[in-house]
Amino acid sequence: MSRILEFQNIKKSFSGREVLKGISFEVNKGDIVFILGTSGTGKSVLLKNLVGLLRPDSGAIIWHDKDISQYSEEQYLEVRKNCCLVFQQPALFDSMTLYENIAFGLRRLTNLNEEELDKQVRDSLKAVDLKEEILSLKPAAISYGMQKRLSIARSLCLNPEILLFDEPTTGLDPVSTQAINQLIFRLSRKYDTTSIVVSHDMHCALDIADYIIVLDKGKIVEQGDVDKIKCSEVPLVKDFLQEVLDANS
Amino acid sequence: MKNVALPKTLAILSWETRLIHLQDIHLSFGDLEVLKNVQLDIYEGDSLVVLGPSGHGKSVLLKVIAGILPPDQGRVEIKADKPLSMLFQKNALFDSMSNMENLTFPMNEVGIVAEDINKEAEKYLEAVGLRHASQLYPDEISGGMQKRLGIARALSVRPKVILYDDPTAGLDPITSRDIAKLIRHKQKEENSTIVCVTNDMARAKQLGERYLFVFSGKLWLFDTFQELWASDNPIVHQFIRGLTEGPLSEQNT
Repeated sequence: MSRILEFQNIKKSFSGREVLKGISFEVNKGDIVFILGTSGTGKSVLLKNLVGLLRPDSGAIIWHDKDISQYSEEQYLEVRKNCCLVFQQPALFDSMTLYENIAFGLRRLTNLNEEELDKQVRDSLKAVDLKEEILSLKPAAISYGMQKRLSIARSLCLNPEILLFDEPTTGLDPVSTQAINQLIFRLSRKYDTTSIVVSHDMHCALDIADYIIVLDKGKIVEQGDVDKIKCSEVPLVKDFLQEVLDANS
Repeated sequence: MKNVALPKTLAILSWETRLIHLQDIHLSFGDLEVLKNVQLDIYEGDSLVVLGPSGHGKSVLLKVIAGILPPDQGRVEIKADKPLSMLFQKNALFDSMSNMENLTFPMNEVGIVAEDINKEAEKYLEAVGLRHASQLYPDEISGGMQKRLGIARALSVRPKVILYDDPTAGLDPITSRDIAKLIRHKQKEENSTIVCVTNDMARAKQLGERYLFVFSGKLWLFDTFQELWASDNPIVHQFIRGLTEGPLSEQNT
């Protein structure tokens, strides 16, 4: 397996408060990596550093052998085209049809002609199990679960190398949670996309992750594959595991 | 018959202890019928957990009980001397008021009598572990703390009935567990009645004694968690286990 991304000792503070205290880990191509932790431990900050919405105070983010953390805004466009972030809230444009929502990124970031673009929109919609009939609707006309799917299609249509998910199942009922989780799994395998999922759902992580990183107060307290996590002696990890057991008994 | 030990949930169900009675409730938004011929009784000391897929009327049901949404048809009866309060899904805190004022404002509005209203409010902030944050504003505290502030505000008007609309949505499991613990602890302490909407089965188990499943405008009641878990209703079965295959998935596509 080849390494696609590496975080090297990333630190980030906000007005004197250190949120990331030296984070280092590697991501292999095609893997589904879950970053777990309680609220406010810096999980989303980590994702935002990767796509350049925030910049680390020190450390390096290595993507294709280059440190992207020092890239200019212009250079970052290339990174963002290849590392697509699916936001926690679907963040769809509510004045645009669903079709235009998916096409928006393609129009801005690619040189596809209308025919190619149309195919790409419909293919990504199909990939997230939505039907073409809804394409002319606006976001308000579909359910929250469908909006989440559509926001995944919007990122997927750019054929990114890495898909980043910021709490993809928060606020969903158990059935929709499972459906989105399985969707992430299928997409990752089908398109050989690397997925980084920020979440506090240990149940989802145990189900589909290849690698799990557990953050606590800005530090990595545990990382490894599912088997290693299941046997972890770290109190926070044990606490998370207990919650999964409690919910399923 | 007297020697037969009834489960607590059955023992409390009597005419005298009935606090809330919903009768033949209908409510539609445009063509969408959200509640159909709904009948429901809620009793003193009840811990009723409301479950069901998104968009099937859980929050609407709470709002009908709270009197925020009047039904198109039917009656909502609530025992007059039992004040009621509600925790909203998105907290609905007053962002221009300090955390302390978020409590004292409704306390004054409903006419809570206390020697020192600030001291009284402080007791509730203390109960949810926010005393140190009383002079901060809602946007200066974390999501979990905002939830706790919302709970303190709901409790501060000394209600007999509290409606919680997804009190742990968006919170991590550890914080969620603590919030659910707090809700149950305060309920027992104040001897109040709670109705909680949640999508999280671990929380449902922690918070509930009786369970109400809302689907397509209809209600199904379960007297215990075991009864809910053992239900052979295919919709309930799929939902509570979060299975991908089943009638709910077919409906979504």
